Amino acid sequence: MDTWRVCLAVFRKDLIAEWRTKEVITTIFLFGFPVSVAFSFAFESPLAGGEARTFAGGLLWLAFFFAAILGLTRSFARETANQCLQGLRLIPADRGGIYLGKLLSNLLFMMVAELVLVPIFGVFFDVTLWARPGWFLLILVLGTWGVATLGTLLSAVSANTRMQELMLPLLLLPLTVPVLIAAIECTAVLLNNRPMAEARHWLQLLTGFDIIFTLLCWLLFDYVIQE
Amino acid sequence: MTPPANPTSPRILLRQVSKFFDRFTALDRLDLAFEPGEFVVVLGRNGAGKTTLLRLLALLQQPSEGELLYDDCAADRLDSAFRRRLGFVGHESFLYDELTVEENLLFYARLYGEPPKRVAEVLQEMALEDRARSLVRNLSRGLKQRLALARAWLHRPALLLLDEPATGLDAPTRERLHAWLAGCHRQGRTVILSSHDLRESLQPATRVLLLEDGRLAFDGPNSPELPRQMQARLQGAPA
Amino acid sequence: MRGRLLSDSFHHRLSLALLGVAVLALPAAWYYVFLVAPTERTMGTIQRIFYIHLPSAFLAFLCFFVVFLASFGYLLTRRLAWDRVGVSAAEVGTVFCSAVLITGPIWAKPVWGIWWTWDARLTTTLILFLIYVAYLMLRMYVTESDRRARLSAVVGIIGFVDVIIVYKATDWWRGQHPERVIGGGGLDPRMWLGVVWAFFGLLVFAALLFLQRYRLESMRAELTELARRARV
Repeated sequence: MDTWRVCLAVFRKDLIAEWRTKEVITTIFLFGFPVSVAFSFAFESPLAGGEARTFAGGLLWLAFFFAAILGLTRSFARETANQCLQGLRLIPADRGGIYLGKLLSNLLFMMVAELVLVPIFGVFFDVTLWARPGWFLLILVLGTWGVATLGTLLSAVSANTRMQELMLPLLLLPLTVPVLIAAIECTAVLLNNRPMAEARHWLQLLTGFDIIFTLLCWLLFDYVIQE
Repeated sequence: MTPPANPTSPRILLRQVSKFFDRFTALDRLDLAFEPGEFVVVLGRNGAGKTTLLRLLALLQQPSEGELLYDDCAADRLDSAFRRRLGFVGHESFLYDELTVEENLLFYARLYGEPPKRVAEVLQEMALEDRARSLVRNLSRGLKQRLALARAWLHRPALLLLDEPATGLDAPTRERLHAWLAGCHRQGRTVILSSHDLRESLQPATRVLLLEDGRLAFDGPNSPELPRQMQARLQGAPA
Repeated sequence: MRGRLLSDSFHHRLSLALLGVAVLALPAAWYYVFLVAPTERTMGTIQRIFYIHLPSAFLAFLCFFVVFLASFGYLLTRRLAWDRVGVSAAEVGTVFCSAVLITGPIWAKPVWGIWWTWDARLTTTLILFLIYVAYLMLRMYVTESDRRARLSAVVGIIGFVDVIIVYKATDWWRGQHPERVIGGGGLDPRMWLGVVWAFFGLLVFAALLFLQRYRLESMRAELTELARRARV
């Protein structure tokens, strides 16, 4: 109960702050947009054979991933300004709830930015990602959640280091490889109009990853924010 | 989720407590006891260990060596509910710049399980009602400090820990702060605050500690001639 | 001194013993592997690299498992000795992981005709390597030792759990490792003995490296403590 109350409070707080500043969503979008354009230049070049459509799924997730890293850093910067995190550590409740609240808001902000990026991406790469909207949304949520679980925890880890901007991608990229592979494979199945049953394994893997790391990061978060 | 009706402050005991940060010794084998209902001022120059002491007392840090006991219970074994009994005002405000005064307090009230009406009470008590809808970013240093105090006061803790609360405040504001703290003290709460400046009045304090290089250099009851004695020790040859 | 696990004299005796065994066991293992074990029929002599490759992979994994355990040890006890175990194991593990990554392509080029392929185990090993390089990098950028121990313990736990999922993921993704060739029952018993010899020799060598690395960390910690006491 305790945990849930803290989680909701943190989530609401982040919603208000984001509504006012729009920092995190704009950061993700403003980075994701030119990256999509650049990918399109690089892979749609006539000399390269214009085969970008075939790996549009992979490029989409890479663009999301790198944009998310910037968003996660911004999001956690809110907690370190004025040392708010220390204020949060004083609460007479489970500190893991703070993690869950941040996870929820990061997930939401990433999703919002991605949903704006998807049509733009679809236009540049001439692919229809929303032909099966239900499946697409499921893949998007599961993949984004996977990046957000470890991303939220590791943004707290890297905030403690001298090379914050370097440490987050350095830690996050190898650790989220399973998420990226699974999300890219799922998207490929979707884009090639193949039956979704082919992606069953990958959806299971994503779900498993998300659940395992949500629990693990929730348990470990208190250790990260101590000092 | 209601706070205890009777604000019982814990008895705090430090036995040979040291805190190290690698090569740096912040606190060096402190032996101290704080009885419920004391009003203690911790004096010391910058870097003498005042902040570290208060952060240890606020359970934000653990001692590197020695024992820190609250009512005979080791600090690292206290459950999270114990933190309801303490309020901490740090050097930083712990406030969100992009939220309003009221939103900040509502946020912390939710975290402490306090009802929203408690926020209105605290706003009134701290005379912040007319600024309730201002963004914290736009507040003056004095107002921010008052709001930080309001945040720490939301759950009416029995033990108040304040790290240099008077820094950057003008004389009248400082007076008001001390009067308010004296009020808390009269209700039977323990107040422990740190200061590096003797222009701040020591008047409400019942006990004065002096830290030098992480060691306890003085510990005694407050008296009218104490400020002059301390002045000399605080301003002595710069280290 | 706080958090000392081994006494000086015990450390010296253990190191000497391990050194002695390693000096005997490693050349013996290489002798056996290169001159006694039979040459593989289809791959030829290049197959012998597998006597380094496979034990190194085992050892890397073992080391990272030690990091995992030591990370728990640190978070539960807050004794920096566990952190020293963690960093020592991570470094030794990374060395063996590099050995796997170097020997793999050397073997793959003549046999598969390519240096690298996104095979499940290859990919997993590479990701493993990147995770523990990140672990070691993280340590470089956190100055205070308690904080460093805490943060790297968190990464040590997450990293190991992650590796299991990485393996599962890449296994579904691609799989072309010569499992049947080297993992199955059709192997000459002398080849197996070669693997066991090489593994034993390298294990002793790894233990020796680990011990020296751990010792160095302890000495650093003691130096810090002495400097603090002397108020330097």
